[in-house]
Amino acid sequence: MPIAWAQSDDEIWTPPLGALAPENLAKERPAPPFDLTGTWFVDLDATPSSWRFGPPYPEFTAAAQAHIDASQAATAEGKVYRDDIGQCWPAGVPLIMTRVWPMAMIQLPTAVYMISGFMNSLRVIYTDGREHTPDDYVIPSFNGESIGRWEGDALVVDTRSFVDHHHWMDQGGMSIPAGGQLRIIERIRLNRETDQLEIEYTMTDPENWAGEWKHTKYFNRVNDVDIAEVSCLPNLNENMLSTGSEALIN
Amino acid sequence: MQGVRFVLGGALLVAAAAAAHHAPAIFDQTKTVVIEGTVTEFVWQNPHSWIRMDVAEDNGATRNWSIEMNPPSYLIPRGWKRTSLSPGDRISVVANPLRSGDEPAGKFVSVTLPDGQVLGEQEAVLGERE
Repeated sequence: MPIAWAQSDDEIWTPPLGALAPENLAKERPAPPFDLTGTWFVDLDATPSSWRFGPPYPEFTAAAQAHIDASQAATAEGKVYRDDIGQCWPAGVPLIMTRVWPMAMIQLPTAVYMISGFMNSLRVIYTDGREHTPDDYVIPSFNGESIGRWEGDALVVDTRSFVDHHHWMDQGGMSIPAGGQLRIIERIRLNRETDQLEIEYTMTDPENWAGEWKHTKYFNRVNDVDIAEVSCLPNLNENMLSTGSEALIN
Repeated sequence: MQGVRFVLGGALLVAAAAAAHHAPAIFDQTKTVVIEGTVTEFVWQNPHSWIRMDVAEDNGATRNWSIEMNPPSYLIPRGWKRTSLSPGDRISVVANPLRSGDEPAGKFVSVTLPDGQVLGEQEAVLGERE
């Protein structure tokens, strides 16, 4: 008996041409206003909140506030509330951008490849004109799916399709969860006078806060650093009490 | 002399903080202890290095301590090499103790090597800014 395939080939979604496909790279495109290629490190002196994305913070939902309250209580007791990053879950966007490790950025005509020194987390911003992957096919991830478009002097990046578990906007006494509806718009500019990157974040997640959460971060070039292999190996938590389960409140 | 000595006052307070892998909330960074013992393992690794050392206690028992450190990139500027410590080395470590509990663990501040050389670590910022 023949197999009854659910769909014919023309009903199946076809992924876009790969960002590194020679045919894609060779397409004629306007010259971008700047090149992000380099190694960058968040400027921890530029904003009082340093690596955090607040204060100011938005108005949190009751569900998010419960996590924040629990994390503050844990911190007061010298404990760590759901330190998922310590337990080797990816930091995810946006925290991976400010996780106090350098980030290598490589800009091609079709994409910007970002590799964090922290766990070598890979983030790709596609700039080849593709659309977001349809909901029926997209694979939720900690860094989300980022599509960028050049608008004037800025690269505007729309990031969606995040996981809905073990992903936090902040931690260390401010455990703000990031949900599956999280959406982040980044306006990335290069200040040619200071050779500094400015990224203006506009973040929404109706499960966890009301309205738009806005924050701006700055990044400096670090020219004496390369990205090294960094993995969350099993021996780490076997030897470090501060990340081991005894230190945690889960 | 082996063992653990609690250091009173703020003479050895160091603005050290944890590196970027995790939050250092379990350590009291306003206090330091001096831990004297014998290296059993020194791991030069990302995202953290660590020292394991056997420490003789007053009751005659020996406990194996874990001294948590920043990654090598924060140690090299303070003179560390991959070969700075070997199993069997007798060392004295200054560390931030746990806030609570009696686990044999501390957050690294500095070490005195067998030849008397003192090595610290560069500050990382994640814990400090929390």
